[in-house]
Amino acid sequence: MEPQVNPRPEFFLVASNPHGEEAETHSGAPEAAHTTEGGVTEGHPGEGHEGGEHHAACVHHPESPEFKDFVTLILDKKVTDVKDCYLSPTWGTRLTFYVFYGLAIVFLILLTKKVTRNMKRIPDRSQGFGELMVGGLQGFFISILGEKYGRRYTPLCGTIFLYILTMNLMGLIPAFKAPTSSINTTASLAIMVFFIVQWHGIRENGFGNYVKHFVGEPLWLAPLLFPLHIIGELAKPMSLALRLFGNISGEDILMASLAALVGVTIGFIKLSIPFQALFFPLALMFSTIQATVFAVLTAVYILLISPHERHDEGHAAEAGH
Amino acid sequence: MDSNIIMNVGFSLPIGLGMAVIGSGLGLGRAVAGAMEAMGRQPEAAGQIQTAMIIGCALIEALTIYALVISLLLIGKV
Repeated sequence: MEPQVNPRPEFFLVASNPHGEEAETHSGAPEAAHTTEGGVTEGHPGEGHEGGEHHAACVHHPESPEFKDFVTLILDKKVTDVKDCYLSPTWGTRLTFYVFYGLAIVFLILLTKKVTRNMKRIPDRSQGFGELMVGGLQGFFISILGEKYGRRYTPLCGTIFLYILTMNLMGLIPAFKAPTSSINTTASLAIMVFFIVQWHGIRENGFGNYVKHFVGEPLWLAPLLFPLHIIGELAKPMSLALRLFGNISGEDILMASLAALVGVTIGFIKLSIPFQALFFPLALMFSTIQATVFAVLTAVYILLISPHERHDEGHAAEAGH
Repeated sequence: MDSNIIMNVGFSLPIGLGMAVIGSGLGLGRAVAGAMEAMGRQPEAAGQIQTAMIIGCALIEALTIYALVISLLLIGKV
């Protein structure tokens, strides 16, 4: 028996276009049964549209199902202007992107202000929490980078870790969307890390040694090794960006695809179990792991491009990579 | 898109993704096996070994994620 279309469109999913066709204008009634060009209906953008052709061009129809966040829910009633839509495939409008990105930053700033307010010698609870996090992160990055670089680069790596962790975990809150599920966020972080690593290499090694590091050991192999090393250096930020983006957006699409199964009727059985709840611990685990991996890889890239004369402080890093 | 291209992409995309997953499964199995053995030999270093194992697994998994990203890009075009 084939699964029939979902007669009750879900309010929490964006109407998706599994075959990439142009969407027709939806009517306003949430009870109406609509079908797309041949797949299971993933849902309608909620309660009311203004209707009209120009609004249909503006409604965001991703290819894979995705959840609606509170900005999209509000905007569905208000957006009429075509030029404010479509920044990237996973994000409906520019405004959605800015709102969540800013929310993560504001949350971290407020948390820091609360922790560092009235700092005492014997810490109270919130300052103790802050000291626990900072001390733990500093110990961790000193074990990778060694004493001198560890202290210098703990702010960078620790901030990257906490920031990416906040952004990833925002994706698990019901009406929110993780900013890292867009390639814009992850690529900008990766480009920032790339420039910081290269600047660190030039500053610590001197420009001559920095170029020699690309040339490699046997000098007659230099024309071969030089492009290879450059491609290797360029592949690092690309892999950082794609790893984080793929993991978080994949987990987002997984949850939304499973949530879209609710209400599908196969014969006389109607699926009503929210399968996405089963993958919630997996999403929590992977969000944390990806934040850790980004920060640790930043530290490891800094370590790899540093001058190679440490034998006593950096050996713990051999276990790290 | 041309229906020929659609058929080719629709056929090869899941196969490619499956092959990437095979490689990732084998690699992760070896990594975790090595970590388990090391933890068995020296249980007091288990915390450090576990951290290193998680980081190694994330790096190996990244290769499968690259294949997944390509599939995500082409998911609507088939």
